[in-house]
Amino acid sequence: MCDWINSNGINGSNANDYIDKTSIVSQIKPFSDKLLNSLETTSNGLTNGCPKSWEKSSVVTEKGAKSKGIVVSIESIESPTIDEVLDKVPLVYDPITKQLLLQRGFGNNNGLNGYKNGVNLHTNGFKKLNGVSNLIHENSSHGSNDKTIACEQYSTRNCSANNSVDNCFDDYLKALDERNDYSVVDCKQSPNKDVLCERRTVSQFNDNNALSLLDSNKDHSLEETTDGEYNGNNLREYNGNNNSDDNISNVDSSVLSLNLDDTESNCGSVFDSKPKKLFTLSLQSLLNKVKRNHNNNNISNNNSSVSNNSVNISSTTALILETRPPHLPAKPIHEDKQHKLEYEEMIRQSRKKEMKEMKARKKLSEKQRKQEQQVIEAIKVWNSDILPNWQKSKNCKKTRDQWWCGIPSHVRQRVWTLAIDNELNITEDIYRQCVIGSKDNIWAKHSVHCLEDEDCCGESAADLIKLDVSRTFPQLGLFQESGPYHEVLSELLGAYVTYRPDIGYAQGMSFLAAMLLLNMESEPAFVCLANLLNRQLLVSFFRVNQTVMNAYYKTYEEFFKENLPKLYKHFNEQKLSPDLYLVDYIYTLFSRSLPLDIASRIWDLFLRDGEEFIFRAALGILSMYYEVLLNLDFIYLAQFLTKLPEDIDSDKLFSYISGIHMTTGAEKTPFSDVLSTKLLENNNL
Amino acid sequence: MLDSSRQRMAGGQDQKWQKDAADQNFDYMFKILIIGNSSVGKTSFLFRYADDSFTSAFVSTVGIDFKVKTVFRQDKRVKLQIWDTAGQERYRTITTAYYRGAMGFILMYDVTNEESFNSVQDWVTQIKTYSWDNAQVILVGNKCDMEDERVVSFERGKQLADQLGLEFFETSAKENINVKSVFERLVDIICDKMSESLDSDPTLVNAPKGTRLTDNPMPTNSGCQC
Repeated sequence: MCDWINSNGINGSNANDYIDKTSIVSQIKPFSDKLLNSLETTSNGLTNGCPKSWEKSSVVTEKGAKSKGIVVSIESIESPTIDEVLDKVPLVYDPITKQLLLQRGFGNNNGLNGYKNGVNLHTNGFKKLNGVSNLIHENSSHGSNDKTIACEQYSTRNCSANNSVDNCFDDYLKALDERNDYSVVDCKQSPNKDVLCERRTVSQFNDNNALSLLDSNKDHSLEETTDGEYNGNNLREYNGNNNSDDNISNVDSSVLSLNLDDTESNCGSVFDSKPKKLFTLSLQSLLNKVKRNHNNNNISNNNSSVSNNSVNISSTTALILETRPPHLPAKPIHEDKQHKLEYEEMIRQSRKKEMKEMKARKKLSEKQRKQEQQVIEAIKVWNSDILPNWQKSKNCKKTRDQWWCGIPSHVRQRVWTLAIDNELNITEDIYRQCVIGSKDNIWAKHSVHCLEDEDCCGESAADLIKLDVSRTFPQLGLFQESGPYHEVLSELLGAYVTYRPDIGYAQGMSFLAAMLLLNMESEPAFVCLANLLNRQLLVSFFRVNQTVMNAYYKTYEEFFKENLPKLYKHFNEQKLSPDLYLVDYIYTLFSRSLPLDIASRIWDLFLRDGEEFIFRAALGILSMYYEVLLNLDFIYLAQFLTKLPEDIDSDKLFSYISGIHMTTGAEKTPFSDVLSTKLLENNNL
Repeated sequence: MLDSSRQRMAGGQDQKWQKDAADQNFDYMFKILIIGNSSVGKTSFLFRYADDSFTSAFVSTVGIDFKVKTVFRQDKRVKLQIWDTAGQERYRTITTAYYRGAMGFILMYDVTNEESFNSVQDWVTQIKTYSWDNAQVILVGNKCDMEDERVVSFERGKQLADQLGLEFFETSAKENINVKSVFERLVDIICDKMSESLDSDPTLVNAPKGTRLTDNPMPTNSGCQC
């Protein structure tokens, strides 16, 4: 029935106060509530005449600002469109100042009906204005005489019911798009008048898509004002930026609202009176801001709406905070609020997580530093105390304790070489001869069967080595065909086969040789390999001497029974004989079954304590998984023990191993004695 | 101290393994061995079947690896105990010891490796020598995806299988060709053989199903193993 243009002005509290979003929202909320009230009251008051509504509308003004409201009545129009309503607004275009001006005398108590000559503010009107380039510049430069005030909000409401407002803007946007520039539409009263009308629309265009410079503060005021009813699909908001700078905060929240109740269209604009200085400043700021945003947008090449009040917020953050792009439906208020809350929560969580991670990293690096410190200390001890007096110090308690903690990899080569010793007196010459010999004996006969060799009838050592080398620690990528150690390992194994044709190559050796190569050069590795494989345990296993192997199994079972009687019983019930899992542990000295670092540590102690440590380590593993193993049946036990968990903790395992004692019975018979007994028994059988 | 640590360990690890251990319900349990020359793809074949995975980062098998898998065949739940053995001839004295009680064998050669095909006869002899007479054997030519490097044709494989009276499949663990079929066929022929034996030898009827034939008699449906 009634259509309104209501203008109100609000003074910002303090020009120097930085106003952040939330505080503005809270400021705007009561204001917009009041505005709604005032609109209602003014609409009632209209029938009684304009002066009354004018007085009422001024109620909206906060802090007693001198601003005045204007009420436009369009009673005469039966079903008004925005164009028609805008026709009623007494605006004139001033060709000199190139501005839209509220007609002189408007806003006085003269009533509105007399104003019939206003400039059409519809499509054509905008287009005309579009022809005026850089209005902002002109305004800010020569508008010094004007008592103008910055900026306001231009909103449409429930446009689905009446699209004229939207069409109007569409055309306007199109026009602006063609210019590919920004434009400020500025309508104001003549300089002498208190009431100035200023309508400014700032738009930025990019790739034919309207990029509204949205002032989120204004969004809030709009949302509050329109009570969440607006249909975002057709709604576009154009807000001049007026609070991104301190100066601007003074003039924010000025709202003009065009209320078209009957047509369910609502258009907001602002009328306010302010000192001209503020206006100039704010326009300047606006201009700067617009430019800044334009640059930002060009960089991010983003088509979505961009806030021009993103105060010190990174572009990403600002984008997330914004409402949706114009081509998408706008969010309802509650959703928007919720999203903001969620976003804040996300930020909080991620900060929390970052802090936590940072702490964890710090802790880890602290731990690493501590470990490194320990390793440095250990290296010092090994280098200065133990290694120079090896024969004397190798069996003393201090050395053994240090040894238990694992040998630092820096000194591992030296300690291993010394600990394995060279009983076979293998010299560098012997190694070189073996390497050369292997080229003739092993590799030349590659595809030829060596039928004379009883150990490899049907299988040549070269074939086996070739097949196994690339299947040795494949996770390291060192021994694969393209890996740097492929040839070295093949050569080493070939040399060994030449050196000991009676043993030849057997699966598992490639792991032992690779372990050595990981810690030393090939020549000392060869010496170590040959001497290791000369030890009773390994030599009997690689030659598959069943009698000796069984003696070892039986000895192991003695210690199993001694240390873990309940589990031993369970294994027996399940008919899981130790050979099923020990074979793997022994042939590769755990290097295939356990992670390399743990395997290396087991090797360290195998070299300190001898073969019994292999069985002790096996019992340590059983002890560590005691409860688990008690609940498994035969096949799962076998599966578990031949494929140990990959996340075994080294220190934990070694604490379990230390809990295994390697003496049996009341006489505390050591491992070697038990083994001798078993060997004798087996030989007698 | 040891005991308390054990308790802690049990808390963390128990659940993970409890699930496996709980799978005690089965009608039959068959012990199956995969044998064949070194590097013919026994472990890959088993991993493809049990875990449906394939990695080119093979690790050579030293000793024996184990896998367990339960299948449904002919309305029966069959728990397969699969033993994956090391292929090197040297270790045959070790591995043949485990032939006892095996109800099925997957004898594998590599279609790109003549040597492995030539060894098939030896492997059959080993089975005859060390295993139960009724053990079922399927001959498998693996790596059939590597056509370019193939040296043993399908016909030769088939011919040898017929000669030896074995079922025959060509497979690829890498491309997952026929892997499942081999196991299913093996389970079927074991079931057939078993019912035959039960029919012809009434003394077997009283024995618990499946366990009579294995070296590691498992309590069927008996629940707790503790």
